[in-house]
Amino acid sequence: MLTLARSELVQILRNRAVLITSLLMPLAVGAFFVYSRDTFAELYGLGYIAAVVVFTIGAFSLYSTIVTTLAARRQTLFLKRLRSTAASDREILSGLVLPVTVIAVVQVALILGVFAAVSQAPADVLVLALAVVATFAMMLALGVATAGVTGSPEKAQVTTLPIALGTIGVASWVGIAGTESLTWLKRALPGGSATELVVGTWDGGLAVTESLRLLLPTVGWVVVAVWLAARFFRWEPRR
Amino acid sequence: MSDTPVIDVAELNVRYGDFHAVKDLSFQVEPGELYALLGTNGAGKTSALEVVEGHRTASSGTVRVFGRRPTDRRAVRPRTGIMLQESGFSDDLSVAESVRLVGRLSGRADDVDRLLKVVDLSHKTDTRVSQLSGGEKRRLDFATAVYGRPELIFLDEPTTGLDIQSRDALWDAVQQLREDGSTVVLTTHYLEEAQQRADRIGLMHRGVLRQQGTVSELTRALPASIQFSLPPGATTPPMHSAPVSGSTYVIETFTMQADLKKLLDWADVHAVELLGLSAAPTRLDDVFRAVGSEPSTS
Repeated sequence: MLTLARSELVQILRNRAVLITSLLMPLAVGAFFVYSRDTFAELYGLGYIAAVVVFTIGAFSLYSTIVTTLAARRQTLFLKRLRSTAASDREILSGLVLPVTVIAVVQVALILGVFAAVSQAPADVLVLALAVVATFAMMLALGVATAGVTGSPEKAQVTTLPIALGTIGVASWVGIAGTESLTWLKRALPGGSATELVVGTWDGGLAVTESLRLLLPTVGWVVVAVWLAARFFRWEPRR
Repeated sequence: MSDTPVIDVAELNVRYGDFHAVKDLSFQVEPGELYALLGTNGAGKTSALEVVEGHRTASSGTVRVFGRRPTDRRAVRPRTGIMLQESGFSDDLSVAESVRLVGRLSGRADDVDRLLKVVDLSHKTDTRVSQLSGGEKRRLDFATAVYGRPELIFLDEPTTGLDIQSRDALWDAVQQLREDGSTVVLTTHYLEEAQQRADRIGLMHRGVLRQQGTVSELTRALPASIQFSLPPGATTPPMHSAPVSGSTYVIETFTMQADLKKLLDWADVHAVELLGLSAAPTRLDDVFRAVGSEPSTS
């Protein structure tokens, strides 16, 4: 798996388009929110900024990059080539998504670390980390599922929009409006409860039991996304 | 060397919905053998091979490679090299990186520099795959297939797009591997390559293995031909023959030597000059055409 992950990292670093659109752009967006923190904090609170950073990186650095990468690797029959080796499907998939996942984790840690240093530290780092892990697991599995219905890397620009914009939209809605009204709907939407959790763990005031309860809908989405990935992912192009 | 077949296929069926692509296919490949699986377009050989390679599951039937299910990658793939019909390399990796990646994932060990020398890509070691020509990509593909000298090698259209020198070099490398004990399964549209290289040939048409055997076994069932033209006014030769166009005659024969002697004796006695006389043995092309013209059995 590590051999493949290393090779995948080399490919990402050599592909300027992937580097700019999927890795540098989200980093820039995150930096913008941190830079403009006073404006946003005044309107919606610091936790909102943390949530937007998590979901921007989750949607673009992780989700969109995974869809684009897997669609490209399948289109060029690179996946079939890998499957002609002794590596198992699980090892291949893990090796392919590992570098993208690590980069996304480093990005979010970097931006939130700087954000905490220049504003205030999160109230509950451990639960915040759990929320990020659950969110990224959901986006990763949704990425594999979406790659299954994405015929080419070009088509990924369209097929990723509903989930990428949808989750950022949900994060913004929940982050700005809170969950006082339409509570169940907001928490049931993908990313809704995770946003509430990130906001709560950053700003403080969430009890541990409440935190764990908020984690459940995201874990549910992870299960659904893994099922969708197993159902829709294809290793070879349609003939 | 073991007498157990390297590949054992029994009553293999592959269906895509209502389409029956492979019908009750059975064949074995013995250790050290070069077996060519040939077929008309849409004959089902790619579907059959993909099952044998472990890329696809069978609808029914049994397939064993080294006595194991071909989908058991951990057991089978370290002993198997697969040259795919299409490239399947990442444009952003170099030639050496591509060979090293696929080689390592295959669970075998080899010297990349040695291998690139064999396929004449030493001067392209650090070149990105995107900058290779079609022929160079085929040679790269071959290099990954034979990485670590596997016991079983699948060659799917190995010489398509290669110039004559590269073809010769590739077949020399295959011959070397065979001398070291490797078993080879070949599919190709170049029938003369199969005729020259294969120990046994399986001919598929419309999902069915219509004929199987050595080249001489396959060609034995069809007649050889003697062709010539007669000058104006010459009498018709004694054996059964008919003009195929104007004064050009073709004699189809299973006893080439005897019939040729008879024809030459007749021409000598009657002082007839046989214009453009040629005698051709039955070729694999003829068998292939005959199989291709057979109606479907289902």
